[in-house]
Amino acid sequence: MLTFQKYLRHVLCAIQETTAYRASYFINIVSQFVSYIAIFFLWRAVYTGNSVIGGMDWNDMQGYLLISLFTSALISGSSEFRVSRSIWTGNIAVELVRPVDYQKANFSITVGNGIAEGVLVAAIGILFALLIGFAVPPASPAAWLCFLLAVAFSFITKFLIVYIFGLFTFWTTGGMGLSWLRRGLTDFFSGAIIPLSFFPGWLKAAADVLPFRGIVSVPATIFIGRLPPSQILATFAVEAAWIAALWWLARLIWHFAMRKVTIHGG
Amino acid sequence: MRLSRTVFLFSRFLAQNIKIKLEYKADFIIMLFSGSVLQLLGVMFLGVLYSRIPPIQGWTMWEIVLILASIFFTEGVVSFAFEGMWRIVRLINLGDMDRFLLRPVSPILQILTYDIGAHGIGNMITGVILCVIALSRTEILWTWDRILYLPVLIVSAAAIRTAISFAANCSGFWLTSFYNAFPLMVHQMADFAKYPTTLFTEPIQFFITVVLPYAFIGYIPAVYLFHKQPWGAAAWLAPLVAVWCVLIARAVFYRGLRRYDSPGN
Repeated sequence: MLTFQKYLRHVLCAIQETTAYRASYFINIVSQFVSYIAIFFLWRAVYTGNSVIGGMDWNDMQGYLLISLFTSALISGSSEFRVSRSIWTGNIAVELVRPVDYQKANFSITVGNGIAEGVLVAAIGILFALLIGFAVPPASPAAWLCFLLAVAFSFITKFLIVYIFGLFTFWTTGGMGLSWLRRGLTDFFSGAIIPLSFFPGWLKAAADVLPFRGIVSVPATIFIGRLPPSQILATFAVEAAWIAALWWLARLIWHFAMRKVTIHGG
Repeated sequence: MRLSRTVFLFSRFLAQNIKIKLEYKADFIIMLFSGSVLQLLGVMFLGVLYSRIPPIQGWTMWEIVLILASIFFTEGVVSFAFEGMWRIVRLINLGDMDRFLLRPVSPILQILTYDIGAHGIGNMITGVILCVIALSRTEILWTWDRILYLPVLIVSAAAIRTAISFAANCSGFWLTSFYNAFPLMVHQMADFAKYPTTLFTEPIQFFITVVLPYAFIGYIPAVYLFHKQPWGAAAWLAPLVAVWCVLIARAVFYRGLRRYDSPGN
């Protein structure tokens, strides 16, 4: 019980920290929308003159983009660089002394940030949906349940990938290049910029076995009702397996990193 | 300060920065590749999209790739030479701006050369390769004025991007939080320049032509080079736009500097 409270404290602190600088908090979130606006108009132009592409019509695509934006915004820049920054500055030394598990503590802080930012992102997302006249959310409570579950899976998967790439900073020192690589891989293979159903066969086969699709494609296709209900359970099982695998992979990398760690003025 | 001295100092700062970067080899190599990977993914996105649809508003895939590639290239030049502007927020937050103000060299020059982006090299290389491929798959009727325009475009586009990002980073004088996403947001708005401006609604078109003139680094030059519209010669306004942006960025910086007080004791 005491352990749980320890991590709950991390979550609460992260919420306070995120909302402390109000201007930055707001700008962080608005900035997430900017590149989506460009993509949105690109798709709108694509859909004038084509009613169905890759098995999706314009309304599906709008829903897909909304969820893509929402899930991408849940873990933002501040979480992205937390690990690499503390390695770079040497603050990791302080964190190593603390009587908490680094991986779990990091997850808790990311959850806190995610809650603080997610609320506002969802609010703006709903506003945006009303603005563009999109109004076909999932019909049944069961579909909503599946969607929320998929968002949870999405969050955990993305956290683990971000965290693992952050740990690589132990070897590279700088975190920027790694973060770009991660973003490129995630955005492409999760279906964030183009739905996986548009991919040619071989690329789709690759995307289907990788963990990235859980981040955007799964929640978004559930939301617009394009993931057949019969496949949902199997998809979740694969995602859960990936989460377990990534969790232990992160532990393994951490184990090797601890042999490597050097700290300024050590 | 004399121009020749500025150029001399600039090249010395650049050389020192390259030495610093080469100290962290793994990081250097990853940075070199990461920029290219992101670009290639952008092109793959277009490839996947265009495999499903006819040209968008009369623009073929390789024409858009050429716009993208030229933006990658100028982005590469800017991040290689002037990456330091992305450190302004941190310099202000930690009070490190002090030492720039004490030296008898323009603080703007010192900030711009405070860091270099190794990814800029990767961006430039991929940009050039993509340009060559795209040029071989598109039809441009090369006239002498179009050939003359290319160097003008590269310099103006680099200046426009630098000025806008620099001014956006100066927001650190007003927003003092350590993590400030405003400059990144402004930088991301260049995404609008990657596609034909006519895709967007009028307010956005106005915004990226007049307020943040990103249209002058990608779309408008492309219209001119491809002879798409009769008004294409407007692309020659790019140098004027660049000068305007640089003047504004300078003014914003000195305005912000007046607000700056060192956080120290």
